[in-house]
Amino acid sequence: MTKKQFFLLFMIPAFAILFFLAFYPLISAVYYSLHNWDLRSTRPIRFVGLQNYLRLLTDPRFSNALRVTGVWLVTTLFGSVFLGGGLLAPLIHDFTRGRWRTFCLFVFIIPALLPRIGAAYMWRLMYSPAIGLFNYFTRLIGIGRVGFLDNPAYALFSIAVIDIWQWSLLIAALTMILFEEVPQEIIEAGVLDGARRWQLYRYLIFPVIIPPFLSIFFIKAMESLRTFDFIFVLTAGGPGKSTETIDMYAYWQGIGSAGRISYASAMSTTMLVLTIVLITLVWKGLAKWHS
Amino acid sequence: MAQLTAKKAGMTVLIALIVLIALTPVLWMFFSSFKSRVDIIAFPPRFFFTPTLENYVRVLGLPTLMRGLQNSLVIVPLSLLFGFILGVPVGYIFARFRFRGSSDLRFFVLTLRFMPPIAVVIPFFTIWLRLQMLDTMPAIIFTYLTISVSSLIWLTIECFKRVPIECEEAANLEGCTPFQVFTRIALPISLPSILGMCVFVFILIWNEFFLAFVLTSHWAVTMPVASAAFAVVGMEVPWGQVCASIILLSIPPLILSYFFVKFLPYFFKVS
Repeated sequence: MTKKQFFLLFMIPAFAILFFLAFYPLISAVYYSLHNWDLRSTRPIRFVGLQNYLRLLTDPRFSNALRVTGVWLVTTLFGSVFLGGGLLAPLIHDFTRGRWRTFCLFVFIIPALLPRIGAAYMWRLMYSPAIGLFNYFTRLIGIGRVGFLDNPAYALFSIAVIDIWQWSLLIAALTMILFEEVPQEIIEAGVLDGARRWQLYRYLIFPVIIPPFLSIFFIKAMESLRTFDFIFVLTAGGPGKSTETIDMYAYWQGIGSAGRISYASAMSTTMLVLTIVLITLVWKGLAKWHS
Repeated sequence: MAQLTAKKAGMTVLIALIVLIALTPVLWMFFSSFKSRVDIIAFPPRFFFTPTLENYVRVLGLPTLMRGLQNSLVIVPLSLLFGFILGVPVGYIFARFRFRGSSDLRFFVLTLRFMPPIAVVIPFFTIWLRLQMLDTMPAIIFTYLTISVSSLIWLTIECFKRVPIECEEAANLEGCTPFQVFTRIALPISLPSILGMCVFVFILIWNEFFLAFVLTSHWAVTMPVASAAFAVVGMEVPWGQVCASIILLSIPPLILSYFFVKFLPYFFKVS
């Protein structure tokens, strides 16, 4: 078998399937979004142009979903990166050695490997107003009963805490692995110059690991944009619409209850375009950083 | 000196506390899964109780959950197997061959890995609906190829790059065809790290909820969907059974996480 035959034999089937799996849904989503297909309606399906997209612009529930998605993205992304990479990783790195450190690493990746559905139920049990562990503590310290998931003011943040729990620990573990690759001489030189602990990290260690650290940041941003599971299990978008992200709203419109395939497709297409723009920008940015 | 030791001891206590907090949700659910109905609905929560297996017995007798478990044990390995056959050689090609469009194709694979599921789930729903394959295992396995093929391509590129190129060149000089170089040299040498990647993809698919939730309803439900089916939002749930089923669902990823630690850095390389 020549190199060319080998190449074609393996590239063609894999990419035929991937192209189909990627483009067929995308093209259909765009196609549906330009029609008025509604599972609940018997009227004939017809082409409506950009009507669904125009409707999105004036839909207050959609702008609410955009805002919730934005708050969610910023809170979970920066929360987990700062807590995990900025605080936990240096702390654990400085005060653990050998097996104890390996044990910490192992423990820290466990939450991220759990099924998200599982993690969601674990926290829902702890948040429960009737039997939850947290309400036991809030009463112990005299705050009384707190409906962590029932209050629109902080339901979203209660869910964000779960995401930050999973991801800050994982990011801490990853950052600690990056720390180990930093040449020892750099740190020793810094210590000789009398640098304080935080200065060592700020001026010597982080600059060395910044490219891989940024790709962790990027991956977390992408993962934050698609967090259906937690919100679905904990509040399903409520109370009110206070935790309804774009995925959640598109789900309710398209499949969950309303059956408005076309309108939901317009939403998911918008979401996809936003994601792709974001990926491309960050990818090009990272590539520039590397060169 | 004494001050320094005190500080170090204080930090060790702090870190032990962090480890404990990190594990609290998991441990709390684990212990709750052994509580009787009375113990679980008690407030304040009971920290000491007589353990019982009744939740597990009840959960293992539920037809939906057992079907979910059986389906997942078919769907996940098959998705992984097809992903391996289709994806791993492509990872090798990306690592070793130079050709036009290589980086564009790689970028395409990357975007697939980060595609928001909501963007594809509605069209997949309508495709399988039209083909009358909604709620069947072949449909869900095929849909999961999006995850398994793209992840395995992406993750194995790095594994193959670490194979010493001299070995492959030597084999080439000995008269091996490119295919033989791949199967006899590159694949065996990088197999340990590739298996690490497979563990990761296994966990990824085992845990996948959203696509399975939309594309299955009764016959082809996967384990996460079956475990989530217990509870309706807003109502108090049968916690004992939920805890037991979530613990069962979490066992495979927990066991595999042990093998996973050393491969961790691979998964977070983007460029």
